[in-house]
Amino acid sequence: MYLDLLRHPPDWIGHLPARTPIVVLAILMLRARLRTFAESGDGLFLRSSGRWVSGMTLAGLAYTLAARMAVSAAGAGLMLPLMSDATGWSFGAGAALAVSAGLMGFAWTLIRDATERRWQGARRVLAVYGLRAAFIAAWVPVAGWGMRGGEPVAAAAFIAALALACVGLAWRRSMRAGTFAQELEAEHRAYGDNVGWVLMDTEQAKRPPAGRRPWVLRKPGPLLKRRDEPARIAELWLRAMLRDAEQVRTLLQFALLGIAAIWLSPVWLGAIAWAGLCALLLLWLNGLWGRWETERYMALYDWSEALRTDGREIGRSLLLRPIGLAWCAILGLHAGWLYGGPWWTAALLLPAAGYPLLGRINRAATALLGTGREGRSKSDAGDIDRSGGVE
Amino acid sequence: MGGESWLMRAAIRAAGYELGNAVLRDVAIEVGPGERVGLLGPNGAGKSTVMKGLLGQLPYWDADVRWREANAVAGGAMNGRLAYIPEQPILYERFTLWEHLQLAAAVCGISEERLADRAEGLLARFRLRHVKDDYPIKFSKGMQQKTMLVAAFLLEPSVYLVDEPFIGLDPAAVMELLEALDEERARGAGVLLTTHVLDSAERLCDRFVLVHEGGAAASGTVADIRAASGMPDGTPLFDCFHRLTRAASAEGS
Repeated sequence: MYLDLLRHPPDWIGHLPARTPIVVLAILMLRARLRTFAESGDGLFLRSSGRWVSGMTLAGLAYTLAARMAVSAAGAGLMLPLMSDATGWSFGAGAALAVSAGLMGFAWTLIRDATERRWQGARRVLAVYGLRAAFIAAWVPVAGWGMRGGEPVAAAAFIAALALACVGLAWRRSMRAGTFAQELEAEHRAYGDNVGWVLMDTEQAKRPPAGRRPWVLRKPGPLLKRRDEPARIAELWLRAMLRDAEQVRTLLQFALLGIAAIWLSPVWLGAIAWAGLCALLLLWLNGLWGRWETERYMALYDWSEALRTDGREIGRSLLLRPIGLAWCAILGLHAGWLYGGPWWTAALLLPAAGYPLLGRINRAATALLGTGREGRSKSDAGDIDRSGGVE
Repeated sequence: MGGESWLMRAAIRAAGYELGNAVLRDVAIEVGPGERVGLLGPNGAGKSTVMKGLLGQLPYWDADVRWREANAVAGGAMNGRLAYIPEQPILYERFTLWEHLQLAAAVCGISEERLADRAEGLLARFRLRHVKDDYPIKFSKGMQQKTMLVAAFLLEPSVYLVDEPFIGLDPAAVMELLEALDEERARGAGVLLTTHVLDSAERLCDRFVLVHEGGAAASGTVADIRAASGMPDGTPLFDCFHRLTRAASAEGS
């Protein structure tokens, strides 16, 4: 497929700005962190041996450098041949870009490591984001300027300076003491980043919140007017979901994908896509609730079946309605855009009609999914020999 | 205990982590109003198995658990009848301390007014008011344990299951816990606690169930335990415990 793409590149590739590979390489480098493969068990005995610690630190530095070089080489190797017409860069210039991106990525991991050791909570997050912005702001113009010049001596001097800076930073890091807690945290986060999508239900892959306090919905005040028990529980679920950056990102991506699918389809197909997207979203939200409900803290309590069902229905609607109605509005806007005149009113009428419709779909899902769950719990109960009595 | 002076009676015929594979057999536990019952035993004796079984978390649980309250339902986790204070705090990483309490209240049917009224007092008592909008997952172990205490006391249940209450808490927090438990006992609640700290257990508990090698080695008051172990009056519980477990092990071998 790649070879076919290389032989017959689509037209849009030729229209991409020449700096695109530089930006992509910057994004790849800024996701990285210094790896040391520290484990909590090391703290028992191994960390008391300076020789062992320095060996592991050097191994971690070597691994991180090798990983950064490999990622940059792979990124440049895939992108640059495709964009050779747009950029006009030679093989040597591309190789120099890949090497400098790899070294820059390595320097970034060391600077990030130092920053994360220095600050905690919100200050740490702000510092890392600020540094990321500064890195992009410095790297993209400098690399762009270097690639335009096409002077091998200047490129070699730049790479040599970067390599020297990397050696200095690595030397400084290897001399640091008291880094174990930070290394454990970095390893935990790296593990979560790498395998979290596979092991999403396991404790090891969970990413604890960065701050001491929530950043989203920080105030404990009520979000819903309805204050019965199911609504209070649904509100707590919503708070938990909106505080999970991964879930929010997936939700936004799905919402944007839905907007694109509806806008790019003919109106009749967009209406069908709306129904399908809402059904998918509903199933996904139902799964999220199910997973949340089995969290150890939630499972500590004795939930009545009515509370479980009603809470789940309200919780689903809290996210289904805004996204479903946004898709309705897009469908209406698209109709107005295509046919003009009175069709513009669809942008208001469709959400107005969608509101009760989404409520009905959600209630129907409760009946449908509830029946399935009831059947499952009955069969589970059959497997467990329990008895009890009340006097 | 006779008559109606009991809150919970559990007659455990067999319990374990696999169907048909019992790690615990023939243990009877009774908790009365205002009573503190110590569930004692060496590591691996089956104390936590009893706790998990009472919470409805065991796959193999052949037991007859009876509650005095007419509206009580059999089995199940924390509710208005039963509160569990685990040895290792169980917390949710995306809830603040206050939201942990909100969930406990909502699931157990406690109104928001009652929650605000009761929780404020408990947070002040356990010195957690200033962190009520923080994530407990970021607290120290002792503060996490106190979060679990507040969540349990909020429910005002009939019976408290307290697993190793003296681990992780500082002396002041242990005193606060004991005071709070005393107030709950005065209300009529019973306490079933497991501990390895036998000196504390002897001072705190009214009766004991000594679990050893998956069965009840002895039960009753300190006097009953002394009699069962053949030790004279005034013998500390520790020595009785030692004698009984050694005798049971010798019989077993």
